[in-house]
Amino acid sequence: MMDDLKYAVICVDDDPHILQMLSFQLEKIIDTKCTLLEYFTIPQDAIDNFDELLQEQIDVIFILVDFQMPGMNGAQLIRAIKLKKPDIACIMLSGQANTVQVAELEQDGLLTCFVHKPWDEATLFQVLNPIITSKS
Amino acid sequence: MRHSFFIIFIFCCGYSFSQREKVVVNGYGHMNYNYNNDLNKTADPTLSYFELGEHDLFVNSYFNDRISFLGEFVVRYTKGTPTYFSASIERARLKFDYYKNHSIIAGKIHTPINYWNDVYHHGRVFFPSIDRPTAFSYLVPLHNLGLQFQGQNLGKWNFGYDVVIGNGISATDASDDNLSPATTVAFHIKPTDNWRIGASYFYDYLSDASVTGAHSGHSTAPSHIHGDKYKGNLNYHLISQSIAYFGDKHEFLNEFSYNITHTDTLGYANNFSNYTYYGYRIKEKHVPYAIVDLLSIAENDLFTYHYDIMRLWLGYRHEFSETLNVKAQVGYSTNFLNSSHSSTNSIDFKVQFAYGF
Repeated sequence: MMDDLKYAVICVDDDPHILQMLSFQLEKIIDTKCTLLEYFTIPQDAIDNFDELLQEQIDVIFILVDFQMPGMNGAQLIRAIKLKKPDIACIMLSGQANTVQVAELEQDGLLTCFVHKPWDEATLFQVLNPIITSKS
Repeated sequence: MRHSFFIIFIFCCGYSFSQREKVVVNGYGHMNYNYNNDLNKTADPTLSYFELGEHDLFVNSYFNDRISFLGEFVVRYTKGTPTYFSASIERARLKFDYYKNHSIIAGKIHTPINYWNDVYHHGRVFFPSIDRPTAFSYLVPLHNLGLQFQGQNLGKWNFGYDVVIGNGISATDASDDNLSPATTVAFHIKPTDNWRIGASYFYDYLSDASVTGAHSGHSTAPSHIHGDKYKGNLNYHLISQSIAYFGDKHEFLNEFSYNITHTDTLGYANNFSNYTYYGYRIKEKHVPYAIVDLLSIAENDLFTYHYDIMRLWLGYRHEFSETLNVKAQVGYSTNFLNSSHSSTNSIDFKVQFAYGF
């Protein structure tokens, strides 16, 4: 089964209920037979997992992150991930993001899209579908 | 002085004993045979077992013409307890008829939501089918502990109302986790003896949604990510309507519930359930029936885990007497919405003996 996994998606939010909601929605548009869906409440765990996926040569399609998280905020996490894989799509999903830091991310070309919480499923799919289809 | 106290004591005792004229005790129980075949072929795809059901002791005590007590005590099999059985006080209510058909009730009650919870609840011998509607295990706050203002059989439409102020969902029988009481407003009419049409609204505020008390039909759902329960505050609204007709030939019941939960994290979640029963009395004791039972819990509900199910049943009830019947049902359960997370696909067969004593 693991041999069939070619892709991965990483979601990071310190609220597990946000991750649960994302899991319900992502399973509708992502083929879980070939794509690993990973959920983390701690940003550092996501970075560690990202390194493991790179070593296993699994292509991480996108990373979906919250802004306010303990230890490391979403902007810092995106910058850390982008250093490891510059072409990865990064989406921020937040209701309380620091506008200055988000604007800096956008100016640096590191942020693919920003989605406000609470989010609409259709809006999220509108952002994610082109990214997913570009890999299939 | 001591002598006069003694006389008062004797008088009071004599008064209370002489007024306690009538105590009625009834008992209800059931036993089932269940067969389940999970067509998804997960672990243990087929189950076949006998089940000892609830046994319910029902006590009515009339202190005088206006004051009465109703107690209902249920013993049921409960996995994980030392004796494998648990006992619960399902109802303990003191009723005071203060004016004609208007009453004040204090104690633990069945929340007057929909037909089934208000009219049957326990005592399978009264159920037209084997099981309760699925909404019982998910949406309906089964009990409440508090004060109930009730009116029944008012006017030519036999109008009835219930207003309940109680502890609500997050409470136990001894405490509540917040200051905000749960409120229920319900009304019904009975145009004829066979009809009952009703509607209700229930609201409760939970300051910590992970705290689930003894009065909801289910426990709070943990997230499947890290297994955490939602600890934030939650507003719980439930709007219900029911139409019931139980005539000499035809039996019909429809219950619809629309539930909204609101959290700061995921906003408004919209859930619903609908239960439709139809039975036709062929002869005096033979009633074949059909049931369509639907439930949908939204993805963003943080109180009840995301789920949807449709249960279709065909059944037959044979009434040996008013206090003894046997029912048999065959059913198919499946998801009826695009629920990618939980998959249900099963065939069930059940037989139930229900009795009163």
